[in-house]
Amino acid sequence: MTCFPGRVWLALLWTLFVQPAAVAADVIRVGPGESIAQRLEGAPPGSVIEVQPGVYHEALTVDTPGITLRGIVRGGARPILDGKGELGDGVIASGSPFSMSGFAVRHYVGNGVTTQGVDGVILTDLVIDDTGLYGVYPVQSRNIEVTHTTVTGIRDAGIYVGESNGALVAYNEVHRNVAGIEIENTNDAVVRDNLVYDNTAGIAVFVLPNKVQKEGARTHVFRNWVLRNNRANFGDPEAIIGQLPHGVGIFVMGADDTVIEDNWVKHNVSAGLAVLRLAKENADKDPELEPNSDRTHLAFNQLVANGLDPHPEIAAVYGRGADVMWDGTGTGNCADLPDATTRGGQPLARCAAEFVRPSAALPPSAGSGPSVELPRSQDLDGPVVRIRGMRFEPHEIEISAGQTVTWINEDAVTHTVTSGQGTRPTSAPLASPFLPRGGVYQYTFERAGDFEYLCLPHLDQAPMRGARVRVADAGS
Amino acid sequence: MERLGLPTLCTRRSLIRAAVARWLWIGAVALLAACTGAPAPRSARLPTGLDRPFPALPAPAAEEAERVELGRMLFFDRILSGPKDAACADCHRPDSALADGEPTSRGVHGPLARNAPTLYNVAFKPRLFWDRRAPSLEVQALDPLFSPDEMAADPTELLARLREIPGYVSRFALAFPDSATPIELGNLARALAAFERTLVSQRSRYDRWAAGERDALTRQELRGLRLFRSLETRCFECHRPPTFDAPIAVGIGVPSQDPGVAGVTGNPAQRGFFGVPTLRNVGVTAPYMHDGSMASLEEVVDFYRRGGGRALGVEPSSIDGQIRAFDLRADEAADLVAFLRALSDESARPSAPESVPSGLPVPGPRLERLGEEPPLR
Repeated sequence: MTCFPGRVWLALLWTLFVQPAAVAADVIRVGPGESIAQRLEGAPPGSVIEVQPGVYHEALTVDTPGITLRGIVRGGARPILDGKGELGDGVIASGSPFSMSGFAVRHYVGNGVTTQGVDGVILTDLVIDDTGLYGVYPVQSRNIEVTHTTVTGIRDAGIYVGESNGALVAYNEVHRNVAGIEIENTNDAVVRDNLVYDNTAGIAVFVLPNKVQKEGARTHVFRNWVLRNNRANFGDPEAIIGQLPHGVGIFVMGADDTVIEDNWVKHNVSAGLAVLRLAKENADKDPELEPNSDRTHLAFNQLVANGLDPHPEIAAVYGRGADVMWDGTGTGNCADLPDATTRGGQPLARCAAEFVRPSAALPPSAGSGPSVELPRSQDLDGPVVRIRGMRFEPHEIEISAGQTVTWINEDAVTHTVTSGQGTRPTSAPLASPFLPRGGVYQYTFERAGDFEYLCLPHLDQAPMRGARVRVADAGS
Repeated sequence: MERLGLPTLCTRRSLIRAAVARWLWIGAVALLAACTGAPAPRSARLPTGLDRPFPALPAPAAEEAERVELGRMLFFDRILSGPKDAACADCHRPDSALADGEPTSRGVHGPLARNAPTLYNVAFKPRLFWDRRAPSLEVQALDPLFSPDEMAADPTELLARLREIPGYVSRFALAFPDSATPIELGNLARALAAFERTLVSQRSRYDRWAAGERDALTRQELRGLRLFRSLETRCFECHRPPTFDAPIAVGIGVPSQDPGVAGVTGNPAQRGFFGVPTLRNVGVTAPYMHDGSMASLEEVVDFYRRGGGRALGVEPSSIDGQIRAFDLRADEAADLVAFLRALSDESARPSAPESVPSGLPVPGPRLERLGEEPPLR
């Protein structure tokens, strides 16, 4: 490109004059009408790219180490990466570490955010919708955190951790996807405090053949709400994902030493929990892969009304649906429930009395995600609904159009404010994130009407559904 | 600075012109930075996350140099084949990126079943051959020698031949001073493997880019690299940086009667599976696939775009789940191919010795070979 001597001068001048300015300005600000990709291009390692709310029709590639993509969330508005159904992937990152927060990512054909071979991945407070195969896809990566992220409308897996080591997937809300959360050929993942509902299947911990990393072990799945994952499969019918029967809450397939405990698993029509071997036709393709699920522990889960209307394929094999289902394969699998439905009638062993729930050593759920702002007095001028004692107080509220309602969760357990009729959740207009204790959700009702809502994790409890906001015309 | 590959010859005029342009540019940048606090434009060196280490190689032997040189002699010596008419270098030709440019190679009885893969970076492959049957380079090296279809040597006769050639007696003794009988098959394999481990390719323009020389790849190639890593093409899932292969066997559905890995394992579920080949030097190693059935990279990309063998009536259960049809415009296909061509580096190309200890003709450049008669039966 240039002559050698010029490079020397350039380097000298760079060091003397330009570099100090660049160091001082390691936050690079991008606003609407500007290109994030352009600003990323020359950003030195460790840069923070701070992006203002607005719509950015871009596909980002992050190959520089230590980049932070920080979306500024202001008054509910956030920067939106919008593929408009034309672009392939929202973000492809290879630089280690990589951090991204505050963005909405929508309408990509291939995938939302993928990290490939990255050590140190932090993805938090993202809102991802309709991004093709996966919403979030850390693959061949290490030390991953995916938290406080909402993923919807994905035709394979909402959050997919593939061939990785060390992952925390927590405080996410994952719904209307084929699979909610998938941990595939991955070791040492923790999947906790997620709200997973209205997918074809909720959470899967499994192995696939012909991958470089041959095992998936020691995943710990706890304190998740896994509800009504009964959506008809809308994945590619010719792909493996398209074969997934609907109605399974959490399943383990070929992974080892998985602990599934303290989850709330409700109203999944085929099975609440399932422990399975990798299907023979897939297992046979890779003799180096051990296809059984071994030493799975199922304990302290709250299993309610699962398996009541099983998918025909499951009914054909097991005769009926169930809270707990086991195909009779693998060694050392156990549950603390006596009534698992098993193929061939062999009972699933009871877990040894000395089994100590790993989550007992962890602090109670108290995630305060970046999207949860603590209440300030000026924010609470309007009507307030307090969620306490497992009820909405007041259960019904009347306001005028244009007013903003604030919900505050004062319970120790996590709640949501979600539109829905009776026990059937819908996604709009009320769609709070997962609200931990102290969490606040606000919504401004612009038009008159009758808005019914419920709490997703507790919609089976009457005081936590059928709540209402009645909005009168502003003038009346 | 050698890796930067910077041109050092400049005319006086271009020097002045470049210097003026540079000063103007720097002035503008400095002004901009001073006025707005804007970040500086991209620097010449900016590290990337794709600057990844290759797998470790075995520790070199004390006599590594002697073994490599012996291996080079053997590699180019047709004495290794039964009819004394084919050397390793006849199918792994230095002027064809250590492949041979043919759909399938020619053996003693005519065309073989499979395409000769490049030897660049075989050092990093834990298993060798399209069907992955060899667990090391040493094991691999002996296989074609004694295959009745390939080089058709007889082990006893080959050792007897080598022991009668003074040049090999001395070279084997130097390379394997601790062996009571240096000329034996294990040492023959060790010498060939030592030579092959020098055939590394890791200085492509892609590598320069990955190491931080951000203008080493063109805009088009960078678009191609992004497509390579997209969840539409999913190329990266099997062709993983930095080797651009993976130590696994998969089926992609190239129509063929070749059982592939199933022929080794006897496992029918692996029928049509082959080891993932490296894409290093893929731009200069046409034709492609295990049977050389695809003439160009454009053809290969189009094969994948249509879902691999799924579009060609191949049994879907033999095709990997990640091989799916995807949309790819013609300009995107061109971008992808442009990137693949940026993976070329033949800086470790071996030179043929002027003569080999056997005194047989040394495999020469392609033009000379074209004038030759086919090997005698």
